[in-house]
Amino acid sequence: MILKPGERAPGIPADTASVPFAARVRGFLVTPARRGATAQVRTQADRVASGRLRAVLPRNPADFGEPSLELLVVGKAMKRRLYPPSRPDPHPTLPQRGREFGQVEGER
Amino acid sequence: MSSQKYAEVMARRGAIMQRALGLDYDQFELEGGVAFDYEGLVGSPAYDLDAVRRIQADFKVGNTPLWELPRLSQLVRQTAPHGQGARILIKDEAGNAAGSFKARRASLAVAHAADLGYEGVVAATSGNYGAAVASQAAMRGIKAIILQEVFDSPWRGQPEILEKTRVCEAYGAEVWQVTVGPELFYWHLITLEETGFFNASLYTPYGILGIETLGYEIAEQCRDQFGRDPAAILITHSGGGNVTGTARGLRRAGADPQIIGVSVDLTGLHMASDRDFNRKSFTTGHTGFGFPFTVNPDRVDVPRNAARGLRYLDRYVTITQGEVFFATQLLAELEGLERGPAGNTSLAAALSIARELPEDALLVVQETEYTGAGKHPTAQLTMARELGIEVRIGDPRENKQGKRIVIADDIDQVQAVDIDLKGLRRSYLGRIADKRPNRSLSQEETQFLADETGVSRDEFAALWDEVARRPIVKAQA
Repeated sequence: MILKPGERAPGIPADTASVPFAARVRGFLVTPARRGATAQVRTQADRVASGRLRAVLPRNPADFGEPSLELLVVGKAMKRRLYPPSRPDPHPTLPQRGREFGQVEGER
Repeated sequence: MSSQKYAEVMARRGAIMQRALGLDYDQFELEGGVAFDYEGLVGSPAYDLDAVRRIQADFKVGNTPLWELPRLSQLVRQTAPHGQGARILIKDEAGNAAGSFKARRASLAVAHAADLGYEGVVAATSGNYGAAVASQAAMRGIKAIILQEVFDSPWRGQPEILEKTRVCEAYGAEVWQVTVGPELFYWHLITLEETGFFNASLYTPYGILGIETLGYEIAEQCRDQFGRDPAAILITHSGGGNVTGTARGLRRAGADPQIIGVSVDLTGLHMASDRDFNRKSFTTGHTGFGFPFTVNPDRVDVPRNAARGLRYLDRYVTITQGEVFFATQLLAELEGLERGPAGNTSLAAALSIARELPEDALLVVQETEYTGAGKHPTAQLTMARELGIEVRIGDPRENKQGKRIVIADDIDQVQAVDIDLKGLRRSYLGRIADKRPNRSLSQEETQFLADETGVSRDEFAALWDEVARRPIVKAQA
């Protein structure tokens, strides 16, 4: 924690003012420490930072999320617009246009 | 050690900044506190354009391809009036070191820091600029510290910024991931004070000069590849640097296309709200920065911002989140380029504005960026759904910031919305008028404010008259 709720900048929205301003940083432990205990780390810029040890080698949480059916459908619809099919679709499982998507959505 | 109380740190900002920038901004101030020598400031770096291009070439920046997007142009023409539907081009900035045009800005800032002998650089940025600074610092063998606004109070990270943490660390930077709030600037000041490092702000003259090569290359490439100058350039607009640098570079090349700024419409969501933070599916290039920075450019981490959008914008439009996701999907599926989000904001606007221009006109989208985990639309839409935001296909006019994201269902549904630049000019001037109860301006100030708002002296006189008659003018943003 860097600033407690009462120590924060003036004029910020109430929801932000009611919680602390806090930070996380990664580094190499200066001395062995347990998770949850106060620890010091040496950062990539060779500084020492103190705080509660939250995790060891934490996994990177960003991913690609779930596929978006909406984007897949509009992509397909726009391709059909650009390259009109010469024969009727033998497997008409997708709407011909994005705006007919509601029918597919119901099956999610 | 000096006090770390919020108010006391902020009170030391002038002294901290002066040491961390190696530039005395007072030399540019003019009498009265309103005007300053803008050209003196932006012209202060001791590098001409050739020197900038050499530095950038030595540090893996610049000379990126300008691609035509013929299938997107063709799609637009299907719903455009006969003979209309411009040729859409895109400057593929993902090829720069660290994967975005921000490398152009960082290359100069870090070169300057290294020339001045700083041991390291600090940048407070949640965007690609952090990665660019980290990458340039890595090549120069100096240290980089990047401060990012990543989490809301339950420690839910914005997916795109989590990716930015990863990439900055991949380039060997120390990254501080902070929770929502303007105190990021306070932490920036403390970090600068403790380390004595250079403040590699986005808004120094170096941060702008580095982008001028982008505008210059666009003019050169349009002439070489297509035998004509571009009709219009679409520039994703936030803090104003991208607009300012690109427009200045085009002018240097003697080109005079229409300069169109584009921001994602996030009006109604508060930039400093802990709750709203993760209800935004875009972290930059949106109205939360675009509006306030246009009206008040000096609300930044340097005494005077070298990025001043209103001086250069001929037109300013907004686009919804769902329209940008639509454009992102089409760029991948029809043009074989998986990029973004950043440049896709102006690409979405291009799908709309191309309809207004003749078929042989060149419409340039002036950047792309690398994409990846967290930056991809699927990551943002997944997060939005988890927070209860509705995602559906339909008419983008039904979009509701923070509540509903509507993916456009057809090409003609993509419609850029014009922002009244005159209204933004009035807001800018209203702020100045409020500081001058007697409304009087010197000759020097009159010229400065006309330049600042991008209008002639006559237009300015009419605008000022309008503003001065009103008791208080509130900024729209």
